[in-house]
Amino acid sequence: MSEDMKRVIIEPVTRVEGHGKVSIYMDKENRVKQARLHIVEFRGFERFIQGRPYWEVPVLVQRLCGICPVSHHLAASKAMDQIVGVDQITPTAEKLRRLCHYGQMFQSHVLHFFHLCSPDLLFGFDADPSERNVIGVIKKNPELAKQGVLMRKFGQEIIKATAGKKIHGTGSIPGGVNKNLSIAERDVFLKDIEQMVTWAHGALKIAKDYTTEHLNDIKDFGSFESNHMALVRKDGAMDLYDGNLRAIDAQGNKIFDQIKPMDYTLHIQEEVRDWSYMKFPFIKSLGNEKGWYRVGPLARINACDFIDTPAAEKERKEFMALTAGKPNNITMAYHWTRMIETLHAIEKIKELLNDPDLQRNDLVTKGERREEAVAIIEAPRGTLFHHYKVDKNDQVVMANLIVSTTNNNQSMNTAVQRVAEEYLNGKPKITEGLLNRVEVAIRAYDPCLSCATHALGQMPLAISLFDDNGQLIDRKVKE
Amino acid sequence: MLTVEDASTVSEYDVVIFADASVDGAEPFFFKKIKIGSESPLGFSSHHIEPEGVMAMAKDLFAAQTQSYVMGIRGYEFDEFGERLSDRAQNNLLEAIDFVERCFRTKKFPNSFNTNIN
Repeated sequence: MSEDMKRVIIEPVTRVEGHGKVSIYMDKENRVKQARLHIVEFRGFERFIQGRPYWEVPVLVQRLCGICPVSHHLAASKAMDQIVGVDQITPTAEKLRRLCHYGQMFQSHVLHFFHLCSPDLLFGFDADPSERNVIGVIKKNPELAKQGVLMRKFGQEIIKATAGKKIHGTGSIPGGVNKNLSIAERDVFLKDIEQMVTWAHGALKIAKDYTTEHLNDIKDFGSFESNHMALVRKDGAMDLYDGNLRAIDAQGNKIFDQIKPMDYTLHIQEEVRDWSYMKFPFIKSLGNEKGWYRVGPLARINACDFIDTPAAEKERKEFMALTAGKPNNITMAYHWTRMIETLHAIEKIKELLNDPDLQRNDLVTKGERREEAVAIIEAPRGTLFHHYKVDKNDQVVMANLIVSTTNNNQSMNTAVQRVAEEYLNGKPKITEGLLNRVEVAIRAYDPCLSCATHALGQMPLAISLFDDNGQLIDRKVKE
Repeated sequence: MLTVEDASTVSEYDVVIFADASVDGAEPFFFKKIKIGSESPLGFSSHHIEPEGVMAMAKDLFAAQTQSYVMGIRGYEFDEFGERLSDRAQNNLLEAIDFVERCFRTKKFPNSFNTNIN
């Protein structure tokens, strides 16, 4: 870093999962030169999983994160299906896994919306920090806060019924699942399903109305043109559980399409930078400068041709109409798309709960052992890759995980830079509102920084501003 | 790990005790009533919430009138791999169970209970 640069540090970033630090480097004219989202914890999960027997992986890998363990559970299970020689599990097993996955998608998106980002949307970026949090939401709109809690509970109970536990479940195994859904369990969920659908519509309306009413203010907020990547079905439909990879550019042109998971290394590469433990994936054909991309709800809605549930498809069309059918590159639009997916998830849950296949007992399939597997799933936060090699002793000898937040690494850095350039350039003072805007941009991605370093740590919060002589001239601490 | 939806669950009960192992608390256990204050119930992450936070949300969102307590049962061997209880922890657990059973039988819950073995 040049001696002429000042450094503004935000650590940790609040209302995201896990811990990160933002450094903003400014020159002596107080213009932003560079912004970095540092991920400083390291745990080495891909290394210490080596040597473990392959059948432990769907359970073990969940310990990487207590926030989105289901995604890792299912991604690892899909990979281990291949290791045990299974290319297609039974319809019953797949539907049970899908039910688990949609339950997780529902609760994760709801939790993010109601507890992490709604304070920003309901109170505005400049509201008093003592109010701009979930307590403020509880005070101002207790019914909304209550809905959030009950929706999250519904999704968590779906996970418990299908995986055995809400966190670090064991329901999915190599080749299938180990329990079906009883009629009694099903009926408990069917009792509340219509209420959940209604509330999902309500939450989506809040996100949609916010975006359309504030479009002029937010369209450039942390926004930039980017590539987008997601799984899609063979017919181009959004599929959160399984499919092949599609990447599009900012104008909607396909960069690649229907790439099978096993071929991902031909198209995706990971770059390491010395100031972060989180890697920087990019599309190989475009190189590391232009090949980075976004994943998650915004990318999924942009990349797919349609959604196969009626209410969510109607909402998707309305969303895409905002940009005349072209990809939407507005960062704050993540919240709207996240709620479209929430509606899609509850529609899927309703569909599956009424499917009698879930009570069948054909749960596991076997085949000829293989030694390498790649599985991809769309986790709530974005595309998740699990890649393993297993030797003849049934031990894992290689593991490579590219988690959702890692896929969004460069995008988050770019969003921070955009916001910093807009709101910190030339400003003489660090204000709470300015700093919160940087965090708002990161929060839009719903990053799970716990996953991204395979870590959870405790970091004090200190924001420091240094002049061009390296002297501390301002400092703020968040408790 | 307590989460926000636990507020809905605890609101359905008259009395809730949050019991966990304690690394350095009183032996054989400590027991204290939860007082709901004005502090923010949510910690740094939405996935980390204290018992006080759960009870505050239960009261604010579900009109809960639940009596709630925290109990820390002293443990000793936290640095080793394995799932067994040490003999001392086992004894502490038995005393804790006896205490809780007595409370529920008599319907009398002290505001605090903190014993030390000399």
